[in-house]
Amino acid sequence: MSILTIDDLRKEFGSLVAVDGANFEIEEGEFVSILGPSGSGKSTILRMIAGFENPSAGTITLSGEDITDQPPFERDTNMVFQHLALFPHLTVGENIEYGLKQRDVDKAERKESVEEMLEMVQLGGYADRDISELSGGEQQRVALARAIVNEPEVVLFDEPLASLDRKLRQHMQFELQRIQEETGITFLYVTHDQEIALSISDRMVILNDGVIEQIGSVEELYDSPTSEFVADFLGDLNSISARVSALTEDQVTFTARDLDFTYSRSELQIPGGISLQKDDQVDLCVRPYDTRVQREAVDGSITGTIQNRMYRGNETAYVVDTSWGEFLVIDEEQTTDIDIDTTVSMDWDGSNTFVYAVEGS
Amino acid sequence: MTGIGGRLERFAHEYGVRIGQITTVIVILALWLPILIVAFMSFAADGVLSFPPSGLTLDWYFVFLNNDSAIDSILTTLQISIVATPITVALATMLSYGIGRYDFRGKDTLQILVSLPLIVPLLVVGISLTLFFGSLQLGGGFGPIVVSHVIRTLPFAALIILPTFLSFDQSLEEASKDLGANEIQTFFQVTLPNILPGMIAGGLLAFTISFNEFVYTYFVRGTGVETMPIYLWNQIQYTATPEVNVLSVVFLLVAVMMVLTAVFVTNVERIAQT
Repeated sequence: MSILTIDDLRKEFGSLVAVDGANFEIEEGEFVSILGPSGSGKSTILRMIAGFENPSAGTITLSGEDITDQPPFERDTNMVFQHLALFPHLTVGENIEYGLKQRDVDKAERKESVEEMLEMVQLGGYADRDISELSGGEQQRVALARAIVNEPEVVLFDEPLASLDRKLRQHMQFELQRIQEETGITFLYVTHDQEIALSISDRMVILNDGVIEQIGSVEELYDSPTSEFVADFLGDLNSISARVSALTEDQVTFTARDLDFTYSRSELQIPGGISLQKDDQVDLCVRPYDTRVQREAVDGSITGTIQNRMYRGNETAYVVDTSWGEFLVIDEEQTTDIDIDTTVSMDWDGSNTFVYAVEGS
Repeated sequence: MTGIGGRLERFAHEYGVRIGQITTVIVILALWLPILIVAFMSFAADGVLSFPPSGLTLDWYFVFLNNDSAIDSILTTLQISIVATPITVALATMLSYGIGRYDFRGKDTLQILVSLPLIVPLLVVGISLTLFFGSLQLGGGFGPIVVSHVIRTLPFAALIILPTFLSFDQSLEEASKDLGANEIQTFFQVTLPNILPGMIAGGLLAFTISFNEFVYTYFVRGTGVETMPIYLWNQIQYTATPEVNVLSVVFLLVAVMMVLTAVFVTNVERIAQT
């Protein structure tokens, strides 16, 4: 049985629809991310689960109990806030025991739990420190300890790691995963950073403009995104619009301006199993990692000039300016080094090509 | 490079610290010497104010303690300040709550309007208060003095209390509720501890200013009520005995105590917020 169920959840702020009919379920012990660009409604969903916003419609069920209309202090969820919201007038220990105190846990037991939590987040002996004495990373740990000490059904994270520098963020990601495994508590993490979401979660919910685009495991979403939005959001995408110009039993030919691309039907990635018809308008999409670039202009392929080159250690990224727009090519082999302003052509395999129907066609 | 600029720079480099130290000493002396002299003169043995005194005595303190009208004036002042201060703090807190918590049109203007009366000459407001209470046929007395003191102290209290609300992170209240505390528990365990230092500091400043208030009181008091600054003023005008200095010392002690407490409390608040 799922621990948290969201049913047709909707939130309107005046005439603005922030969340438009969200549905998803989270299993006990899962680490799930809600990923979406800013303004997509992901924080609103989290705040409705925590009880800080009232849904305009829909229900939230926690462990079989409808909590939609419960005030925040009655819900068995705890949140790690974006800016942590640690109590500045209390010590580290008092911050962590705050939730236990509200539930009238006796003093000796509280002290023991606080010590245990501090050990878990590697802040042993910090109980009597002031919040202001801690570094950013240490404050993150206290905020985490304050949430999980109550052993809630679900811990909600509102992008708390966003303020950390890259190295510390990566370290905290590992810590989160470790602590989640140790405690077995269900984590729901909201972020706009696909790198964090991809690396820490078991499953992801991709949100776009208040609507859920796709739900699935990290691998599913990355390898077979059902929409161009998801594909583009989880790693960049090169895209050209084309028309289905010829269909045979096992081959498809797409025509984009004066270029023809012919692929075998079986190798193409056609998410959602849409059946292609002649004259359909589609977008052909390829990831930068799957796009190849070569020095000379080849007839029948997309050509352009290298506009920018970024050396990133184990890979080189090229920005190619073409009459179709900018293409991003990431070269992991690094066997050829191409200078800026060189004329190049690009190609890719049919097995790496995603075909998305263009809406309204 | 070795022109006037260079020489000036070398001079500043060599003597800058010394010049700064001397200036500080002069400024501190200018601020405190008159006060120290007044305090010293409260022990003067002579019947009239003359410096240096011919001897030292505690007599004037006993004269003061036996002077009913002096003691009365202090009690009257305390009564007024004790009534006016909570009203000021309550109003300043509500005002700050509104400005700090809600977004509305004219919010910035309102903030300026609250503190702007600080620069209006006291005499101007004093005269307008007289006209105001006169036209209401209220005459003078306790009530109008309290109202005037609230008007006088409100901008100061608001200046101290407003930042407390502006810097208060509302997600603290959400965190408290998230951790199982209801609205009332949240107010007492999280909201109040975070805004109380500001309220106390604002209240102490309001109390000190109200205790010292002279101009407004002089205009609206009518005849019956005599606060300590008014009593002191009357004394100086007719008989300047060292007892006046005793009164000044008492006055000073109350004010300094209040301000020190205010400073202490605001510092505590700052430490809590960083």
